[in-house]
Amino acid sequence: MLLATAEQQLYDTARDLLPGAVELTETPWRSEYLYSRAATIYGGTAEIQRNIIARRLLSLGRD
Amino acid sequence: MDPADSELLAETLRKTMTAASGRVLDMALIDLGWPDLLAEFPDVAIPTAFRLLGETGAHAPLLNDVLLSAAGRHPGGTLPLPYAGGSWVVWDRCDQAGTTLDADLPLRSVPAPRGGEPVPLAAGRRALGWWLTGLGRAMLSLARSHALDRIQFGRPLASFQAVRHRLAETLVALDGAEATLLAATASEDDNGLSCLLAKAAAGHAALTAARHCQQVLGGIGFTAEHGLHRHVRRALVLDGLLGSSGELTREAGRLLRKERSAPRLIHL
Repeated sequence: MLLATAEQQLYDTARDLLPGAVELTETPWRSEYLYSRAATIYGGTAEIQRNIIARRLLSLGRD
Repeated sequence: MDPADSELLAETLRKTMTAASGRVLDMALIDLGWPDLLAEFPDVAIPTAFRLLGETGAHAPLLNDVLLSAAGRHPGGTLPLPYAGGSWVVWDRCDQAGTTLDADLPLRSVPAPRGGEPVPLAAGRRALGWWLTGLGRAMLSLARSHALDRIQFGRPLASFQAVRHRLAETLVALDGAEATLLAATASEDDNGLSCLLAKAAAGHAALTAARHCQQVLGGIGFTAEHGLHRHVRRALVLDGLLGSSGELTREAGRLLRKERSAPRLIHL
């Protein structure tokens, strides 16, 4: 959960600090930025992970 | 232009943009009288045309016309456009692939022009704002359909609160941005602050739509076969054109600090 969010925040920050690097130039920043969007989807989406945390770790029952 | 005429214009433009893109669309719009519409009814023609570019996923080099016309020059050519980070680009009127993240757009980087006439940013920022919110609506429509059609754990995705909240947040961001665009069209502030804020809000809303809609679409939204990636790429590229939402927000802060007061741009 934490790493997926951190990865997206890292590349959002990179896009903010290096304006145009993702959009205008063919650099690793571009592909890394785009791929970071998948971090909260692959291996179980962030929503599924939160449901598991709520149900198993916090014993909140089924939604 | 009365409401019936505006509706007819929107219908005609939607049909044309659904059928063509790029150079062919540019030509078709000239045949439809785009230069005259721009000169006579800019407050209807610009929002309608640019919103529909976003919603249909088509593209045409109309931003050049908006800026040329605002500078009192004839539409039909190109001019260097400022981009995020102090870069400059030209939006060519041809079908050559561009060099940006959205290669469908014939946009290429150029050196910063020396001198030359200033670019009339306000009109261009409003136009791009409508394109960005149109893109947001296109993404929201794709994600909404997917949420209704896709069954997981025995029920549609749309029945999960986490999914509903993301789509609701997207709609709020888009409606809010469109309200700022309408206010900027009606506003008479001469330093262009209302247009700057509207472009920032529209860029922010389009990127919010991209984030939420990509998440709701899940794996399918990452495939080349699904249409979402085109909208996401375009939103990222258009956000940077004439100033990104991040840069414009900082610029608004600088203006407020300089004036030591916040002007009243709309009466709520």
